[in-house]
Parts: sequence; structure tokens; C-alpha cells
Amino acid sequence: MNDAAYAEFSFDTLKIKYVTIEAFSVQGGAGIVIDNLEFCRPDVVPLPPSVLLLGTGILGLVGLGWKRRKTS
Amino acid sequence: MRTKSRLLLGAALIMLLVGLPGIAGAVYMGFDNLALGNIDGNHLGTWPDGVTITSADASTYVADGNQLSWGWLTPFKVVTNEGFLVNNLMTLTFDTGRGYVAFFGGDAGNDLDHFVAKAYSAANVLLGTFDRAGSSAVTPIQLIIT
Repeated sequence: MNDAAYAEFSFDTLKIKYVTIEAFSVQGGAGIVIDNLEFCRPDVVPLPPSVLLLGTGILGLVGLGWKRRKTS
Repeated sequence: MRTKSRLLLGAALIMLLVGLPGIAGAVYMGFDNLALGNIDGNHLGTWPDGVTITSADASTYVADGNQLSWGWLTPFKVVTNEGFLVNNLMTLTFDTGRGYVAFFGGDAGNDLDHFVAKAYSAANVLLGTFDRAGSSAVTPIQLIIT
């Protein structure tokens, strides 16, 4: 396996009901491999998990700051 | 100092409030909880947020990603089908219409291949195409069609 790609489709008005995947090798055809499938409803905008992680981190820092101030 | 803390707290809460519904509405499938073997036509996930994967020759199966040299991308299982001698169209059919679909995809083999993914509506209208010919990339790339 040496061919890999990350395909991402995003549409505002039309909805994706199905996705077809094909691979054509120089030998005449190839087995397809997929992983890490992600899909959302049209009304949901996917956000990078890093945003949530950053929010949690800031929350922790704020909590730490309060704790330090309370003990001093 | 107190104002700064409050601002930071506000920012953190906003990120959490905005981020949590996004994660709750998104479906992610790493296929790692599935048993090895044929899954062609099996419904995966919970309706209406599930998907059914089929192949032209009904050979869709769960395989060990490491055996297919996908260890660099995913340490566990992947979904694949038989190929090499015939083109074997794989189809992902969602329970309901989706606004966003993403996945890692490729083909088995050690040659430069042509990889094509097409998105259709329920009325069989072609919404977009991901087409990459003759590539041997190991770095995932993104394609966004709006």
C-alpha cells in the first residue's frame, strides 16, 4: 500500500447520500482501502478537536491561577 | 488580574460550548471495534447516523491495517475489498443525507495508481469528485469542494 489520500466533501445545500470509490492500477484494478471515516449531518459544522482541547487547557489554567491566588 | 482570568474563563467556556455540539453531531468510524471478516452490506453505526459499505463483488471486509502496510496511518483495522485483477467499486451509503464526508483512502499495491472518489445525492446527482492519478503520496491531502 503506497497510495493514500484524504478525500473531503463539503456541501452547503445538497446532501451526500452515497460515495463511490474506485482505484485503477497499472495492473488493471486494485483493492480499495479506507479508514478513519467521518461524516456529519448537513446542519453540523465539524470543528477540529484542537478547539475543544484548547478550551479545556485554558479552563485548567484559569483554575490553577485561582487556586494559587487562594493559597497565597 | 481578575479581569484577565474572567476573560480567559469566558473564552474557554465559549470554545467548549461551540466545540461539544460539533463533536456530538459528527460520526467517526475507525472500524477498530469490528471483527475481522466480511462486512459487505452490513449496517454500521446507529440509524440515522450509520453507513453501509458494499463492493461490486460483495467482498468488503475488515482487515488488519498493519498487514496492508497502513500502520503509519492507522495502527489497527481498516476496511478493504478484493482487487488487483478487476476494478472493484466500493460504495458507502449513508442512512440520511450528509453535509460532510471525509476519510483516508487508497488502494492496495505498490504501483502508481489512479484513485477516484465521487459523492452523489439521493437523486444520483454527482456532487463532487476527488480524483488523484498516478500518485504515491504518503502525506494525506485535503480536498474541499463547496
